[in-house]
Parts: sequence; C-alpha cells; structure tokens
Amino acid sequence: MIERIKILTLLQLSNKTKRYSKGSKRIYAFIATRVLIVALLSIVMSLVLYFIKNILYIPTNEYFVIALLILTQGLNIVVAITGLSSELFHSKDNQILFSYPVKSDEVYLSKMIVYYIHEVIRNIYLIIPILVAFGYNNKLSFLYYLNIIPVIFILPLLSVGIASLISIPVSFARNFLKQHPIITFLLVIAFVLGLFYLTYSVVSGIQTPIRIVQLYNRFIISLTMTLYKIASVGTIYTVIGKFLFNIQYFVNLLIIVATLVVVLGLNYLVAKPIYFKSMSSSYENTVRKKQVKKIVETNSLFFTFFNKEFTIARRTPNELINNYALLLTLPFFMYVLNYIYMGINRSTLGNQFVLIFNIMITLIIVTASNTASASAITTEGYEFILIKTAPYNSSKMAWAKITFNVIFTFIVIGLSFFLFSRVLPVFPRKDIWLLFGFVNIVNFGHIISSFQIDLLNPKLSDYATQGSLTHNDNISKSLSNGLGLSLFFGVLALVLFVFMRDIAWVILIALAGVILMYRLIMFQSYLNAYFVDIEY
Amino acid sequence: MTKKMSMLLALVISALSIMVIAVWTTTGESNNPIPIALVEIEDYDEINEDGDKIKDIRDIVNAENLTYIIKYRIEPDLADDNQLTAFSDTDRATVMIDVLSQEVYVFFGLLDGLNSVTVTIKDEKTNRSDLIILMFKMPDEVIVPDLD
Repeated sequence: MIERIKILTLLQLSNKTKRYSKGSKRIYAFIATRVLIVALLSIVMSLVLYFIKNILYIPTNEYFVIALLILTQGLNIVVAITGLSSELFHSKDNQILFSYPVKSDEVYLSKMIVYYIHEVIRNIYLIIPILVAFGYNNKLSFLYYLNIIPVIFILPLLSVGIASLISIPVSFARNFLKQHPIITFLLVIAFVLGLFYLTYSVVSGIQTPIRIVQLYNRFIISLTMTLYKIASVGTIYTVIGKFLFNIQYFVNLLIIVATLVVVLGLNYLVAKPIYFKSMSSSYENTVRKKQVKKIVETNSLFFTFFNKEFTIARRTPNELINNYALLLTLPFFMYVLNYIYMGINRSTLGNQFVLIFNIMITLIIVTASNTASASAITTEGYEFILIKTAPYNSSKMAWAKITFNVIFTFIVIGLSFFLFSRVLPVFPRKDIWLLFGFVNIVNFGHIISSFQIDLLNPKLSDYATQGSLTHNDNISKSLSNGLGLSLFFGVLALVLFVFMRDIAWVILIALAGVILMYRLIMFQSYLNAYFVDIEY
Repeated sequence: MTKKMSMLLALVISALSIMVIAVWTTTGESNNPIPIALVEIEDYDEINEDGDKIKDIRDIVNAENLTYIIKYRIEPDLADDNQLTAFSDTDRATVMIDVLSQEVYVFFGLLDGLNSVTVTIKDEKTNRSDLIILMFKMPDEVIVPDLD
C-alpha cells in the first residue's frame, strides 16, 4: 500500500514541479535564492511588526503571534478546502489515476500528500518570516527558533487534514448547488443582505458626532481585544502557540500529536467508503435523471435574444454574480461612508464635498461593473458563427444584451439607493434621488460605450480557445473609460457644487444626458456598419 | 486596469474623502474648550504610604483573561479630553485609552515574573493626572522560603 501511495505521489509531483537533472548545480542556486527570499521576507516582517507595535500601538506579544497563527491557518484551511475539493473531486488526472490498479483511498491519500508538500513550501514563505521576525524583535531564546522547525511541518499537516475532511461535504454541497442554480442565487442574495445588516448594526453603533481620532483609538482597542479573544479560544493552534513559546512543553506536544493522529485517522476512515462515490458523481457527464424541457416561443427576434440572456443568467448564476460583484458592494460603500460623513460636524463646504465624493465613488463602482458589456460579443466565442449564419438580423442581439445589462444594473443601483434612503434618513432625500437619476444616465452611456469597444474588436477566437477573459483588452479599456468618466464628473461636480450650487444638478444631469444621446447615435451607426463584418 | 484596481481606488478615495471632510470642512472636533479640572480613578483597593492607589488584580487577570479595564472620570463632565493620554511603567503591558467610554485598557503578555504595573492617566494640556498600581503580588505578602 505504502509503495503504491509513493508511486502515485511521485507521479503527481513530477507533473507539477520543476525537476533538475542529477548532479546539476542549478539546484544549489535555486536553494540559495529561496533562502535569500525567506531572509528578506523576515526583515520586512520585522519592520511590519515594529510598525504594528510602535505606530498602531497594537501589543505584539506572544498572544498576538498565537492570534496571527490562528488567522493565517484559518485562511489556509479555507483556501485549502477550495483547492483540495477541486484536486480531489474535479481534477482531470483522476481519470488517469483511477485507471491504475490502486484503491480509491490510496489516490485520496496521495493527493493529500501532494497538497501537503505544496502547503509546507507555502508556509515556509509565510510562517518562518513571521516567527523569526517576532523572535528577533523580542530577543527570544535559541529554543524558540528550534521550535519553529516542527511547527513548520505540523501546521500544514493540520490544515490539509482538516481541509480534506471538510472538502468531502463541501464537494457534495457544490454538486447540489450546481444542479440547483436558483438556490445558489438565493443563498448569495441572503448572504449579501445578511452582510449588509451586519454592516448596518456595526456602523450604527458608532456614536455621533464622530471624533475621528477617538474613533481610530476605539477601533485599535476593539482589534486588540478581538486578537486576544481569538488567541484564548483554546483551539489546537493556541496549543501550538504555547508549545512554540515553551509553555507546558511536553503536555502541549502530546496534545498536538494526539490531534494529528485523530485528524489523519479520520481522513483515512472517511475516505475509504465515501471518496470514490463522491468523486465519480462530480463530473458534468455524470448520468442524472433527465428533465423535461419546456419550449418558450416569442413573437419578436429581440425578445428571443432577450430571453436567451435571462436563460444564461439563470443557468450560470455564479458568472452573473461574478460580473456584478463590485456593484453589490455599492450599498456597503454608500451606507458606511455617508454614515461617517453625516456623523462629522461639517461646514456648508463639507456638505458640498459629501455630494462630490458620493458622485465620484458611486460612479467608479458602477462603471467598473460593466465588464459584462465589454465582453458581450467575445463571450459568444465559437457559437457566434451559428448566430451569424442564421437568416435574420442578428444585430438585435446587441440591443438585447444591452437591455439586460441596463435592467440588471438599474435594479441593483435602485436597491442600493432605496436601502441608503431608508437607513440614513438624515441625508437629504432630494440629493439621493437626483444622484440616482444621474448615476443611471451615466451608467447607461457607459454600458453602450463598453459594448462598442467589444463590437469594434471582439476576441472571439481567443475566448473560444482559452475559455477565459483573463488579459482581455476590451475589459481593461471599459474600466479605464469608466474611471476617466468618474474623475471627469467628480472634478466637474467639484467646480459646480462649490461655485454654482443652485444649478449644479441641472448641469450634471443635462451633460450626462447629452453624452448618453451621443453614445446611442454613435453605437447605432457602428452597429449598422461593423456588426456584419465581425468574423471568428 | 482591472476590477481589483477599481475596487482599491474606490477604497483609497473613500479613505481620502473622510480625511478631507474631517480635516478641512469641519466646524471643529470639540466645541467645548473647558479644561479638565480633575482626572480620577475610582476603582482601587487601598492607598499606600506614598498616596498611590493600589488594585489587586490576581483574580481578574490570568492566562485566560489578559485584559484589565480601568474606569476613570473627569471633571467637569464636558471638559476637553482630546489630550488625555495613558501609559504604563513597563513594556510588558500595553495601555490604550478610550475617552468616549472613559476607560483605559491594559493588555498583558506572558505574566511570569510580573509583580506590578503602574498605569498613569494624564491630561497633556493641564498636566492633571492620576495613577494606579495594578498588583499581582500584594506588598504585605511575605514569601517564606522552604528550608527543608
């Protein structure tokens, strides 16, 4: 069994790591570079700890390090759950590994070992610098540095052990949610609303009038209290921290060893009956009960494409959320910022600045959320050929996509402003709804200009071969245009609200309207001229 | 330009906007320039020969709870407390003041060998102050060595 696990591990490692020929001196250069990187990181971390202690006034004692260990390892476990669930259940090499004469639990354990090795390497660059810097700053004994060595191997073993155990139910849940996209969508909405309620509860607890310096002090105190509470929770990481600082050395060592045995034993026992079944049902070609499809007919070509957009959104809610994730942060930004603005004793000039910053920040967030329009044609990929060969005016798909994006962003922006007006009644109502109208007009214009970028230079073949939008120029251009537009209107608002307060909104909305009309006319012209020429 | 950069930019501008509004467009953080006439720590066990306040915190601060909160009061109630500071005589305890709730937080590290910590609350504007000695071992406790 051990021999088979060893072969499986080496097979996967050779596929994922760089190898040097026997006797090659390049390996020494490789090791020396890595040691130098760790040493440099330790120096940087030492400066960071000095900054935290002497500038932020957060105590960097033993309990700070324990809290830091818990936080970094907690984050490691979350990352490892995602990584391991795709490695264990969705990796393409599973089909090859399972064709060998090995047992499923041996594949499981070999994958765990491969992930563990990568985790150890990652921890060397994170944990060693933190612990060495702490030891140096506090002039700790040699024994402390000696204890770092076992800790480097123990921490990844624990995080990988815990993460692989959790990844089994997570994988089941992911498969379930993949088959029920509506539930995923509802869960995300519930999560965002819950997060907003949490933000609302925390922020509304701040006493007004706000005293910025005192508020900062209170924040640092709360942060320190939280770190102390985390350190005293009594998890296995607190035990590891105490072991590191030689507190009840042998008792803590025994607890660590016992925990590792339990976690690894559980992994083996759980993997044996469950892993193969779970892994084999994780693929998209898994045979499932077929659903009866209902055909929806529409009378117009526009509505056919419009329905298609809704169908795509319904089937791929994750992509939809990914496209508009930034827009979902809008209510948080608006509420937190305006609560602080309103809490400060402002002068009349301060009131004008509140409006100016609201315009600028809202526009940055809103225009950065139009990347779906900047890749609308590109994401059709290979299927675009089929659309072009159909005997109808397929350019209507452009307007269908634009309408969908405008409606979706309008709803999210509307909800943000509605929440904003409800939870912050002290903010002038008139300004809230004028800002809402203005932002929507600018956003409509930006959606059209983003679509135009993709219309003039679609990356159909790139997307068809790569299947991803990474390094897509059109998205970058759309984001840059949005930023430029936000800064332009921000500067204009600064001039108008400071010098011409009475007509500021009228000029801003009128100008946004003119830009929108220009964009609409230009877009229709480009669509008529260039859509027919788009080639794969 | 990426979405992450846009998000970062929005965060930076938000932080800057708070600073701009708080620094340049406020009507003054404190409208009440009344100086502090008294700073007083009220919760203590006894006063020693030198007139210092002493508090035994052995049962309060231990390995499970490493934070001690000192409550204080100022007179008059609405006096300007913007320059009120707190500090200790050792770097084994970090002291932070929260003037909004009139509390001083003392955060300890490892307690081994720590006998006492003196915490002072001082108004830098008027130089009025009060101090308290937090004791882990009371002065009247005599350790008798085990001769056997």
